[in-house]
Amino acid sequence: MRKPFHSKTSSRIMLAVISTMAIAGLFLVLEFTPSISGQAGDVMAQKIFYYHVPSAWTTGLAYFVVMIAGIQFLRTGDHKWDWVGLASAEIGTLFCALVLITGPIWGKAAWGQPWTWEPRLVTTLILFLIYVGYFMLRQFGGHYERAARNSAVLGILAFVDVPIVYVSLKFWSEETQAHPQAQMGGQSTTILWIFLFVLSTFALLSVHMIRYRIHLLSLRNELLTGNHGI
Amino acid sequence: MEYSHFGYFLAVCIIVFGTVIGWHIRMLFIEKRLMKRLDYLRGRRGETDSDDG
Repeated sequence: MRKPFHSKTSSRIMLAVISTMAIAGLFLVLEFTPSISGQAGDVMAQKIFYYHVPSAWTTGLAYFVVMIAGIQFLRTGDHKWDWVGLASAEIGTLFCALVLITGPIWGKAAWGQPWTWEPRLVTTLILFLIYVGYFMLRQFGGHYERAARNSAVLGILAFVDVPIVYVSLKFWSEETQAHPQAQMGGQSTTILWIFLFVLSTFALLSVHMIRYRIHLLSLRNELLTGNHGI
Repeated sequence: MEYSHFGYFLAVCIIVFGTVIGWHIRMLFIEKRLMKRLDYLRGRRGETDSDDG
């Protein structure tokens, strides 16, 4: 007999830890983060980066899992890998949407305009649109087996855009960029530690969300295949 | 400290936390619905098995 996801002790502990870390992180960002040198916008606008950048890194992490799950699914044919890939694609796209929403809010505060057609913004938008295509393929790609196989291939190919987003600042000259060129490594330890703390919270949150989604996909599979033992 | 962009930061917090909490609530509803259907099917299968036996 299957139990609800949050009736498991491990899930409850993880949720409690993430909630505590999220509240503590918000307090740390509000109270202790100084102004970042070399960045546009006042200190309140800069605080947006403590949520915008971890969302972007979480997107990359989730899409990396999609790629690994895609390879494993094509190699083994085990549907559990397909669920892992689909769950990670959903969570990655959710965080990618957050990147595309929070970015323009910061842009409006720092640059005075929410969007400019500069490399990192465009490559991130392309990444989001590729994964919109991924979900369309899953929805309208024909038979389940074929859609699962094709989306696994797309998930592997789509990951190519993730490092492109990351290095897009180096591909083009600084004049074509609107993104800050400041490196996190060159900042004060306070900024770095708080950033890493929020980043860990986001990473744990994404792992928890992916696990929850996999649980629901397995429940749905149980329902569809009629494999629901008494 | 300069607070002229506090509204922007607040908007980001509401969007990020709201999305994550909203996602969890939606998943809780989906889970509840799936569990209900599974329980129903298990019940029916139990009835069929006892009829057969």
